[in-house]
This record gives sequence, C-alpha cells and structure tokens, in this order.
Amino acid sequence: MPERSTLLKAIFCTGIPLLILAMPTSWIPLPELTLVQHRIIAIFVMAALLWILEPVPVFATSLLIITLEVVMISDQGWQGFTHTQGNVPLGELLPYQSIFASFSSPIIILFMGGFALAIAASKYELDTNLARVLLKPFGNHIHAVMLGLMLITAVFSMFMSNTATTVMMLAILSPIIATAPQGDLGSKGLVLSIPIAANTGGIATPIGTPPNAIALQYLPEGSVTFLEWMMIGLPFVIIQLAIAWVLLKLLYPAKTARLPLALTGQFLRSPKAYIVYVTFATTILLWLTTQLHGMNAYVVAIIPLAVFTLTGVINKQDLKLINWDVLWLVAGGIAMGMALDASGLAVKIANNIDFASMGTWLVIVSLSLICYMMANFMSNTATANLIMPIAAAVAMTIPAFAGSDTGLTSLLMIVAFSSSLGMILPVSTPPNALAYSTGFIETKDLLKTGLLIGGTGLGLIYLGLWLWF
Amino acid sequence: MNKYLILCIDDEREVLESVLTDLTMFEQQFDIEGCESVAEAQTFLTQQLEAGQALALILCDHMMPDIQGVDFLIELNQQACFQPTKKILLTGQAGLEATIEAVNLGGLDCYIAKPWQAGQLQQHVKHHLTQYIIEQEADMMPYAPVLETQTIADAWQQRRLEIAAQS
Repeated sequence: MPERSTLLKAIFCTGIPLLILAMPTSWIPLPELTLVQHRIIAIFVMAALLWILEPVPVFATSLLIITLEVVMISDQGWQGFTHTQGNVPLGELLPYQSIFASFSSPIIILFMGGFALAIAASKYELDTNLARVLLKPFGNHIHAVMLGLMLITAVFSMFMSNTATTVMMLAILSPIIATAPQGDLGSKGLVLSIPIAANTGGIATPIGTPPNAIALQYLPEGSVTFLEWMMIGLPFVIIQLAIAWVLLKLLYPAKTARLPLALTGQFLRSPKAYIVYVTFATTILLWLTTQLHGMNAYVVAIIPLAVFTLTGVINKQDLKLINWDVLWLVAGGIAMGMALDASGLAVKIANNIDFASMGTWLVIVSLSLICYMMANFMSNTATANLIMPIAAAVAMTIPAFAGSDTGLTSLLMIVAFSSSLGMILPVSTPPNALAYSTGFIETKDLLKTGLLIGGTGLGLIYLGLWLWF
Repeated sequence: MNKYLILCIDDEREVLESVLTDLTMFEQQFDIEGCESVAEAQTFLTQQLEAGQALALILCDHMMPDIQGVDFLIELNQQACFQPTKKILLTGQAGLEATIEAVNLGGLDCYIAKPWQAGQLQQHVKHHLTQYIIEQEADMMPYAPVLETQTIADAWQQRRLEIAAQS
C-alpha cells in the first residue's frame, strides 16, 4: 500500500527532527550552541529527510522550511520561540524580511527570465524550427544524426529547460525510431543520446540547470560572470558529449546506417515572432557581455520577461507555464542556506570538523561524490540545496583555499557539476524519466550509460582540478 | 490488464472473430474483447469499469436482435464515462436516417461499411485510437509505435511546456 509507506516516511521525517528539537541543547556536540542554531539543525535535518525520502513533493518541503523559519527563528515568530527560557542563550533571531526575501532572490529572477525565454520560444516555434534547421546539415547517416541531436539538445538545454528540450527532441526523433525494426540497438542509442545531452548541456551555463544558479548564490557577488562560468562549463560539456557519442556508438551499434529524416519547418514571420527572435538573441548576447555593459546575469534576466509581457508574447495564460515548483524548490534552499549562514551555524559546524587534517583533496572528492550519489536518487536541485551551503562553509575552513575566492569557486562549481552528473536511473532527472516513458529504452540502458558518463565526468572534474592547482 | 480496452460487438460469431483478428496489431497496448450481444457487452463494460479500465474504442454491428447498434452507441454517449470513447459502426444495413441521428447526437465517430478490407478497418481504428490517446492520455509516447506515430509525437511536442512544468 503506497499510502501507508508515505505516512510512515512522513512520520519518520518529522519524528527525528522533533527528537532533535526536544533534546537539551547541551547534548549537541557543538560549542556555545544557541537555541536558534539548535532549531536550525532540526529544520535542516527535517529538510534533508523530506527531500531524500519525498513523502511530500519537494517544493512543499521548501515552503515548509520557509514557514518554520519565520515561525521559529525570525524576529516576528511565535512568542514562545522569540523569548528565552532557561539558561541556554537564544541567539540572534533572523529578520523575517530576509527569510521571505528568498522568494525574490536574484536567482529566482534569473530562472524566471530563463522560463520566459523557453515559453516564448516554444509558443512561436522558434525552438522546433531551429532544431530542424540545425539538424539538416548533419545528413542522414545514423552517427552523424546522433551527433547532431546531441549537440542541438545540449545547446538548447544551456538556455532552456532541460525537460522541454528533451520532449522537443524526442518528438522529432520518435517517428523515425518507430519505423525502425524492433529491438534495433541503434535506435536505443539515438534515444539515449537525448537525455544524456540534455543532462550534460545544462552544466555549461549558470541558467542551464538550477544547481548551477544555486552555486552562484553562495559565491561572492560578481566572482563568476556568465561568460566565466561558460569558459569552464562549455569545454567540460564538449568533452563529455564527445565521450558519450563514442560510447553510444560502441555500445549501441546500428544495423541500418541511414535514417529517413523528414525535417520540414517554417519559421513564423509575424511581428511577435520577430520580437521573440530578437529578444532571445539579445538576452543571450547581454548575458555573455557583462564586462561591456556592467549588467550582471540577474539584471539581464528580467529584461526578456518585461519585453514579452509588454508585447503580449507571454500572456496571462502563458504565465502559468512557468515552473513555479522549481522556483519554490530553489527558494526553500536559499532560505535554508541563509539560515545556516546568518546564524553562524554553518561556520560553527565547519570549524568543529577537522577538515584541514583530512586534506583538501579528500574534502573535495568526498563532497562531490556525496553530491553525485544523492543526485542519482533524488532531485538534483534538492541535492544542491542541501550540499551547497555545507560546501560553502567547508571551503572557508580549508587552509589551501584561504586568501582568495578561487578555492571557494572551484569547490562550488565542482559540487554543481557533480549534481548534474547523476543520471543512472529514470528517476534521476526529468529528461531520463521522459526518455524512459517513450518505451524505447530500459532502465539497464540508462544505468549502463549513466554510470559510464557519470564516471568520466567525475574523472574529468578531478583531472581538471589536478591540472589547475 | 492494459489501461485501455477495445470492445467489438457482433451477433455473428464468424464476423466477430474476423474483426478481432484484424485488430490483433493493437493488442500490445490495448485489451481487445469481443461480445456477441449488447447485453453481454453491458455487463462486461460495467465489470471492466469497476476494475479501472477505460473503454478507448467500440466497434459495433448495427443489425442485432435485441437493440440496434446505433441506439446503443447513442446510449453509451450519454454516459459521462463513455463520452470520450471512440465509436465506430460496422454495418451494411444501417439506414441513412439512423446514421444521421447517431452522428448528430455525437454517438458516432466513424462508419465502416461491410464487407470491409482489413487494411481500411485498421487504418480507421488506428486513427481514432490516436485521437483518443492524445485527448485522454498524458503519458502518450508509449502508444506512439502502434498508432499514428507522427501525430502523437507532434501532439506531445505541442505540450512540451506543460510536460516540463509537471515533471
């Protein structure tokens, strides 16, 4: 009975944090712990359990975090929580405004800008037409087509939702696959190439996938620009795609070398369609040229939103297509990270675990491996929400990282990259789930390719780090 | 048990068998059942409905002893749970008036004259099943290989933002 197991999970996920909350503060092995910090530990444990076991949707957990924070640790919270009882110091209550501000954090605006581009592009068929036009030069040899599919999917998922891109590309591909002989390995390879490219492509830009933006949230303002992120992310994506292409060719040899691709499409020519084309191109250009005009990625992101709503490209109905659940999920993570940081808890935990003696390498590798493993089984965004604040605090205590932002930046980027590499199961990422739902591939296909691509990705990250430092 | 059911009704055993044979290409994704009378079909449908199976398509003969096919389809269409069902009349004898009435009352999606060609029957059934799946099934891609693949892929692509917003 699914309902019963959900209930058991929910009881477990709230029971453990309640126990933590109920025990005396002095039992927790951290020095001079305040009541506020004690409560934050309980909230964090609850968030982690709920995000991992998912008895409730991940965005609901986010909202619960924000609610509990304003009630339990804010200066406008419940009276019973805002006054000290006993001899444990209360600690500093957080301003309630800054907790609520997580809903309107620059990261949220960045994502709304990204969603606006995706909605406008698909409403005016820009994405499908562009995909068809770009796919044509790759001809009709199966391996060339696969390369084309992968490159286009990856580029699109750098600027649009990985999920919408996957649907679009699978829809282009599946009529061809359906006519291929049943059980042809080559067809499987083609279908697999799309979720792999979508998962991978997201790594290349700050807006490609939520974990990247969450990493930016924990970096000092302006330490990594859109372009700087791409200069590291893009080569990584290109190498990974090349590896994936070769692997898929070897693992899924095709019986038929030629594919009958029917690529017809007509770019729309209405004034509104032109507004979409121009705005889309301009936004990406502005994102890449922060140095020239001074506007950072967040400020640029609100421009397409304004243009599209003013011109009617995006109307009231279309607004509903924004992935509000993703925005809330990210907002909850921001609120969690903010509480850990502002209360001084993050630094206190990091200082009390002797990371320095563990060696810089061990710290980096274990954080990235934990992140990779979690991301395989749960939402990548929720993973980043949990690991990123810890990684940011740990980075501050590593002696090798002292004195510059480079250490912090590399660690957080590694964590973000690692969370995007988790793709071994249908449930790992929405693109995997969608590809799996077509019925053309099986779990073992995702498992095999996911492990290989994840492995080469992690190897590549560590190699890069080793060459760099 | 598949999620969706295809039901064929004909009082002549051999005709029923031949229809069922022509439809075997759909059996991977749909349960295909045959009934020799409307009464039998009604009992069967009630039972399947309780088991949670939806009727995707019904192929019904017209001239039957207890009730005319057209009237049964109209009756079905008045029940909310069978409204989305695609309804096909398979007959050589339905009068023009009865047919017009059925179309006007929304009880008929397609009319196939007897004797039929297997290919033609399959094409009509495929088309209406495709429409049904696009209208009723959010997770439509698994049906694409046996139905009109391009149409389903296009419909799926059209809905990509909703799908992205939901997954």
